[in-house]
Amino acid sequence: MERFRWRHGCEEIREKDGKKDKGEYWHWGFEFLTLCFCFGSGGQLATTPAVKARLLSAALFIAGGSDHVVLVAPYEVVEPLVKYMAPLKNLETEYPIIDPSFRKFCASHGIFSVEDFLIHDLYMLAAFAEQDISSERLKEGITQVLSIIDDMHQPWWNGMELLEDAKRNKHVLPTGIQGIDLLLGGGIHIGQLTELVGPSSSGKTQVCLQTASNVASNHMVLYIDTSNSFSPERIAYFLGKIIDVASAQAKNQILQKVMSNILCHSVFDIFAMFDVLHQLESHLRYQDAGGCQMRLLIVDSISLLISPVLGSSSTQGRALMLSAGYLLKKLAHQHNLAVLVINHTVGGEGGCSKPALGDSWKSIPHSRLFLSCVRGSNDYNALILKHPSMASGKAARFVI
Amino acid sequence: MEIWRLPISASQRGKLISAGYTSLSSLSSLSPSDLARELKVSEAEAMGILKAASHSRGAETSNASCSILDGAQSAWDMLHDEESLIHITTSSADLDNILGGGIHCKEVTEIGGVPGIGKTQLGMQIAVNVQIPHDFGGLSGKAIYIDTEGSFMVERAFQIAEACIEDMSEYNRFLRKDFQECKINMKPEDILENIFYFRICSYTEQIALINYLDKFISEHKDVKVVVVDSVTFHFRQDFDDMALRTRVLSGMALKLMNLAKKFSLAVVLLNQATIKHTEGSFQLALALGDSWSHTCTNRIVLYWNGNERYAYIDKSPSLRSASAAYSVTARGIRNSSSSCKRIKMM
Repeated sequence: MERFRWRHGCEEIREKDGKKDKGEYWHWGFEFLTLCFCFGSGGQLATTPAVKARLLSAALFIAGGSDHVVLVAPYEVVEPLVKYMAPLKNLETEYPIIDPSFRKFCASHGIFSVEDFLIHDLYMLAAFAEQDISSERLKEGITQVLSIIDDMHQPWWNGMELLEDAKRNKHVLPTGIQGIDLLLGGGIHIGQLTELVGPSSSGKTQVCLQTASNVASNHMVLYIDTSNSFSPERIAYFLGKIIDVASAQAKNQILQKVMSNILCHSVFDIFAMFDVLHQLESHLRYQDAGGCQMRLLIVDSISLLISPVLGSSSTQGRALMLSAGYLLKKLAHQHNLAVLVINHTVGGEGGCSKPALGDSWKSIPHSRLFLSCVRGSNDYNALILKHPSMASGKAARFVI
Repeated sequence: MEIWRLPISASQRGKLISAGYTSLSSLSSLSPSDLARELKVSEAEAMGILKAASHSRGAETSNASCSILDGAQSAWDMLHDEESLIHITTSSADLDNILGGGIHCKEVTEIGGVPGIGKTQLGMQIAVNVQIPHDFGGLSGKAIYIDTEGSFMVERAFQIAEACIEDMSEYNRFLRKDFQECKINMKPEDILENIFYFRICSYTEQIALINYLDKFISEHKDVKVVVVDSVTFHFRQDFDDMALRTRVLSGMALKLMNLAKKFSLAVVLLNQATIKHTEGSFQLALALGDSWSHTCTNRIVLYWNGNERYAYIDKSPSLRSASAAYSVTARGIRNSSSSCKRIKMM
């Protein structure tokens, strides 16, 4: 089993410190070449250690399916990952069975961290443990680690539970725009990624602002703004139409309460967006059950962040785009968020415009709405391009 | 809150726990050097741990929604910020009217139109008007003028500056008749001095300059407007790879938006017009194509209507689409009036 030998190489390098050049990695027997991940020069592609480590663990996840992995990455990229893996000795405080002698046994088989354990052939490990003098204790240790690992994975769900969860948590959020609500059967789905796509000035941002103001009266909303197009003035205007209170003072109070529920964050590159999303994820994980919960995440617009990195020559941009998409979907599913993203159009063949970001992005959103402006009037058109439960091609008109 | 919830690496967490720190409160009164000694880590690392700890503590104690994310702002706060912002006037009341008071700070505004419609004039006017002192409802800022076409005429800027000062003193007399004369000690020369002019001769220079602006503006904090005249010129000349052009342009737009937000300044991009063939008819459209049209927050199209110049709001998140007439006079951009029209017709 030569798998993942590189990792021990990293440990070695970290210990020897002075040797930090890329050449080091070739010493560790990478004669197999199945999968190759290259990270840009000096690891500059990924800005923060956390992002780097996540990229790498994503790479490892994919690589897990294949037998042998070659990882070509500069030291700065690998180093944080080495730190990221929980060493076995951290478990000792809680589980005394994982004592130094057990760790020594594991280390002799190249197991330093919990992750090493996961990918090691356990039958072989158990067989080796048999031959040892203190085999009982070692086996107990192995069982202990396995039970810890068992506790860590996501629980499985059956269909009934899923249905119940869908009934309880996965509602629709009304957008407050009649035409669109009717078209989508109530509004945008919680737990799903909805994309609005359309040419310039086709009402995309307006739909987002309107939805944000409609949802904010009961829930928190996060608005990730990449084009300075978030307009609080407009939100106040939309709310003014909804709130039906006579006295100006009471109205102002409600306005303040509702508008404090809308958070806006400006980001101007994709790495900043990753940071914000990870921060949001860690916040949502520890969010209390009570109080005002976040239910809507808007990214206006995702294509503006992605288009500078999406090039024909490199695959990094594509990888970033897809991981952004999956992260958004994961957030949507795990934390019961409705995610609304804006995409642009680009000129396609024959002068007609098509959604930007290409075919690989196309599979990411659950539903896609194409918006367009009806020339010569104040009306807008919405057309379903893709929806999990509706026929595509249905259209509706709406006014803003 | 427990240590294990801290957003730090597993090894650091392990070190903290083995050193006996289990709760956040136990970390509160520690200095970085003490912690570094105890955990046998570098001081910078200890500092990072303490920072994470104090941050989590902050998030725990204040139940205000803003603590969810660093740098996020609630819409209510933003509304108040926006109300206190001063807009840059265009010197034409009608134009200001449809723009909601003038050019907005913290936003990118694109102005486009056919040749001779007055894009450069408007650009120069804005570069002058941004310097109107606070007493006169201005921003009293400085301007950066990025000239890619070589169309900035300094004599013309001088003229506009003179007219602007004349207007201000007139306004002064009108407003403070019975008070002591508030002297305007601004000269046209001062105004010209406060316009930082960059001449750009190729698109690489343009990209380099936009990258440098961040540093320049942090050194000159009172810059309140960046005018790019025009953003199009070099990108229409020598670009073969259209995909690359899109990428470069959107990267540039993001940088400009970042500047606008960070330093709360207005960015005005001037764009050329082109003819586009859509649905069997030829239409006037702004250059640089579809993907560029998404990048600007506000878009104003200038066009001729008979003999009058009109401005039309093509795209804006907060303003309704509207149009207004304006004219270019010897004194700069002004309201369109019948007298001007007559002069033009003769």
